[in-house]
Amino acid sequence: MEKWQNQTEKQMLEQIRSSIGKVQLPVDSYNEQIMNRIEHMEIKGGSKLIKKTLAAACVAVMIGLGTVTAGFISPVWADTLSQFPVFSSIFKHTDPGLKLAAEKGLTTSPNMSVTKDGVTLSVTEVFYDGTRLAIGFERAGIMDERVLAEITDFKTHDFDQSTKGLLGLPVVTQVSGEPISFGSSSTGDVEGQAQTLLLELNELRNTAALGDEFKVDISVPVAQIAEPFEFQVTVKKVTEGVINLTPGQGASKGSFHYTVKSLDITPATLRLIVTSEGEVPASPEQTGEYAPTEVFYELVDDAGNVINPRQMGYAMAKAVQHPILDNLYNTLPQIPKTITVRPYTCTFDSELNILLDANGERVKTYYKELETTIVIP
Amino acid sequence: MEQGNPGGQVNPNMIEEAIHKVRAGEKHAFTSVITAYERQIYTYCYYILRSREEAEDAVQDIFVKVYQELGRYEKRISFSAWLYKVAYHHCLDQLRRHKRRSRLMSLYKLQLVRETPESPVNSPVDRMFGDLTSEERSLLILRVIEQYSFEEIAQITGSSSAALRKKYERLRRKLIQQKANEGGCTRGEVAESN
Repeated sequence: MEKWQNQTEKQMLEQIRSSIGKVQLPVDSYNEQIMNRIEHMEIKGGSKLIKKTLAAACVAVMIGLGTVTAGFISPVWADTLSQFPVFSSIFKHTDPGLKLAAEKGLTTSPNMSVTKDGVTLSVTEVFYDGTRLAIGFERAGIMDERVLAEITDFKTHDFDQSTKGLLGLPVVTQVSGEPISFGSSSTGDVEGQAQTLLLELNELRNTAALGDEFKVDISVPVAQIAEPFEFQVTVKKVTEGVINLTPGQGASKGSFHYTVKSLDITPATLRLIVTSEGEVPASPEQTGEYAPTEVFYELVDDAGNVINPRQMGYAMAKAVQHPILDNLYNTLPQIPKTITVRPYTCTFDSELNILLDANGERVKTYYKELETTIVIP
Repeated sequence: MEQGNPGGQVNPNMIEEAIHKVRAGEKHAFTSVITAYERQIYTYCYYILRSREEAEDAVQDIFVKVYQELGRYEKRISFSAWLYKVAYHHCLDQLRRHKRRSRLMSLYKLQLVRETPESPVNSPVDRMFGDLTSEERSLLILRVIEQYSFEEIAQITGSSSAALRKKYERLRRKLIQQKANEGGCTRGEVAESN
């Protein structure tokens, strides 16, 4: 602190304090705008803060995770409700695709429960469409609000065992013991719905070998209970309303070229697999301290509905080129006549922050010459 | 200068509790953090960026960023200082972007400046700020308004506290001189600071 100040300086500093102290916010508060942006960001891009788990077969590709939310259903009612799809199900508050699947009665309700040492775990609902496998769980007998434990090591699936009844990551295998092969998975408590957990295995692979109906073993470790909770569940594939295409279409810009290897449309999900090669295109603005991100693939149907991948995470490196990209999208309102693939990049600043517009949306750079339209037969 | 309460009149326990809740998944608790600091951060951005519109954007960007990075906040530094650290770097980034844009669109930028009626150029203090660099404006607010120690300002800005002391001394002399030039002081004897 200053030893002494002359009168003029004191007055001057007081003047500064007084003047600056009078500055008022132009609005009452930015609370609403900021929270809206945070909300939007989490829906679209996944939250770094409240994400529960992400176990990815290819972690380098999958960065970020959408918050998993789902509804709740008592297993006692599950069988009945599946016959009356208008009613609620565990997938009620999940993404529109799963919700729709539940409403259309496309989910199955195994209604299986296992009780050990005062903890009851039930598998309440299952959905499988060849692109993803979603399984809903309900826990009873534990007061703790948390269902999924903090996962301390995703490789070993080690989790916080300090509170009895917290669940570790469920493991789903074929009855032969072979793993179910997937691109990414998400596991998380059902937001706002106590005692439920949703597991999704996404971008499933080698599904032809699984067939339209197969059994899976589900093993769920529980804190402070020696043996895991085990279930054997029959999974039935939704086949009605499923369209599988291998368009082989693509487009080029500079050295960059991509091809749509496959497009699967199911009642709950849209899956696009794209291969690409060459350098990620950069606009004149994406030079110097700015750089393009990887290429994202937005889809637009003939009615103008625009959908983006459910996982909007991205690699924290400039212009990353993915030889293969396997993305799940939320379903479109109806089966479209055409789907246009609209590739774009976002822009990193020098610190790898994605540039946002005034509404907090990512600034997108589209490349008209990279668009391709796929006709849905 | 009396030692004040760096970061303003905010109850640090209330803020720590809100942070704890947000980290535990109670997203809504973040509104207490916003309410507690938004005016200070807006004011800071306003004087650094010298544009009401940009300060409005900046304050929102900063809180979104703080929310995203909350998991990385450690108590080695007070929360308010950490918040200012995010704000300081954000404003510097904005100013750097300005420079880049101004190279590209100098004419348009000139127009923008002219058309910004809220540019703080009216009061004597605003005029005083007009002659300072953005670094000096930041230092003045953090030191005089928020009453952070040089060590805390060093944590916020990434400079050394010794360098900041020197800069602050120069800044004081500059301000005294400015005042003298305005006729407010004939013998601008400047005190030393420790």
